[in-house]
Amino acid sequence: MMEKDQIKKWLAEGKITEAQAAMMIEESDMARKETSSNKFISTISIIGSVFLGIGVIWVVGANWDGMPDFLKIITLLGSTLGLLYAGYVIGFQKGTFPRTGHSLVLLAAILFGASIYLIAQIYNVEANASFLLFIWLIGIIPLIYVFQSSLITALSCIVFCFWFNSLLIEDIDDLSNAQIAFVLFFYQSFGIILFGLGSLHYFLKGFDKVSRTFRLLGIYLTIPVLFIFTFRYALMGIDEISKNEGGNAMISAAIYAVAGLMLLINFRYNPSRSAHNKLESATALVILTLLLVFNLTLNQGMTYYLFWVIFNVAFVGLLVILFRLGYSRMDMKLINIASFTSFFFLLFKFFDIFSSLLASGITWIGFGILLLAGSIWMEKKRRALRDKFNLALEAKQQPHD
Amino acid sequence: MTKLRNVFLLLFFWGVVLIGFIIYKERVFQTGTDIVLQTVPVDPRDLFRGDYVELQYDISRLDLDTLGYSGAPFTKDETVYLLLEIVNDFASPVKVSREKFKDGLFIRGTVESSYGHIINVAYGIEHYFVEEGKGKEIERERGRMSIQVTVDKSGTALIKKLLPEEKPK
Repeated sequence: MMEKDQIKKWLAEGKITEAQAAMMIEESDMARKETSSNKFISTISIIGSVFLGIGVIWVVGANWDGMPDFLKIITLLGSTLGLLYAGYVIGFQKGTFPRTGHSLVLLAAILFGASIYLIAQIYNVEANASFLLFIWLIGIIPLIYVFQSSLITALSCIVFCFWFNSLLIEDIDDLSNAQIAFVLFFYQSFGIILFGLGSLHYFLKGFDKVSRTFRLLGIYLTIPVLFIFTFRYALMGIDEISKNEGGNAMISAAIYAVAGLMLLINFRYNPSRSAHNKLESATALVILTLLLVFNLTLNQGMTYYLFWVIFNVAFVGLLVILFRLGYSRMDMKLINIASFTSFFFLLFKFFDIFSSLLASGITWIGFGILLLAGSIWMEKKRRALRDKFNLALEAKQQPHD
Repeated sequence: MTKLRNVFLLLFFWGVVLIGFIIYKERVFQTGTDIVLQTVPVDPRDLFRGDYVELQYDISRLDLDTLGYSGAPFTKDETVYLLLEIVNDFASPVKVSREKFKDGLFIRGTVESSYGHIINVAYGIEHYFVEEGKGKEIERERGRMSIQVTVDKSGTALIKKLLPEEKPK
């Protein structure tokens, strides 16, 4: 899609004729409509699939009065396998409706989970049994590789998180004293593992979307946990809780080792060997090392103040790197993540650091003005960047004279 | 063509997983022995899986002193085997052990918590799914209920059916 301003500029400079300009504007409008329409179709078919999936699970939950068990199983098994095949045929084999095909594959993956739960229900298997989620996960992971689907990648990550949570729920009696430290470490490390896994998928041809989904989910998981670690009271709480709960040192070490190995492989062998890629892997490795050191010093009379400073510096550093990567890669998603995270970081830090001044109205007015001005500046900057990125991308796609 | 082959492999894999799950459970029904356990229902609800009643059995809470156990204390998540005998049509605990019993009727469980000579054990038969809306009805029957359970040779238990009366039929 070409920006009209750019086309007019070329026209004024005499690089193109009026007829060419008119044609380019028309094509640009058509391309814009096509993209918008594609996004709309994707959204509608995904929502439709999710609704269908929820509906089926709901019906399963309602126990289907009067229907024999074998008929329930055959119905669900038949529709699950049938939908997967139908999704393949229309989305991939014939390629007539690729978006609907992807959505049907997603629906089949959801129904596969529903089938597992239905069978478990027929045999009165424990309601919260973690192995049910594990079977679901094992069943849907191959879909990622058969269809290179970012939707299934996201679903797999969500099921994995549910599975891990259900393992914890089985293992602990009191959620208020629920190895919070370990849970936070796990999600942080899992975020980094996802990031590493995503990076490794760049080695595979045709897996760019899967890689990006893994990496974005990794960033989404890592940022909130690291954000919690920037608060001194949170660090103190984690230390206190870990005193009562004992160690998960072996599990933590295993998670760190896996994540570290993935990042090192990516750092050393990624075919792109770009500076960006090295910076990303190095950043993830630094965060991982920080977490490891923090984890090892738990219950060792650690200095909260030192870690508080380190994690805050690390968080700000991460935001700066996200901005830098987003800018140099012309990736608006990264810029958006960094912008919103920065906003919340500043907001919470204000309340955390200046809590003693909150009784003063002037402080509120001052900070309100600061936030408003900041949000306007950020929005303007964001739009300018978006336009700039679009222009640059269009220029790359246009044939040169 | 490779993709088509992979799709068929995937369909086969899903079929094997789901049918294998059913076969595994059915095997317990086919090879196991039926027993009846006395139970008290407690009623939660699983949003995704309809109504179910949570069940607590007489054998869910074991007094190790009464069972003559003198070994090392049990800890959470340990596997425990409980030897059973039939008394007045109901299964009653006889002996508890960490090891499988060589013969006799026994059920396998996992220690949920341990308080000295008292241990709470889960046998994987603590949930019974019912038709939507029947959970409350069953809850009202609290205290007057028994469950028919099938136990196979390895001690794995599966609920067969809920018996509304206290006495098995």
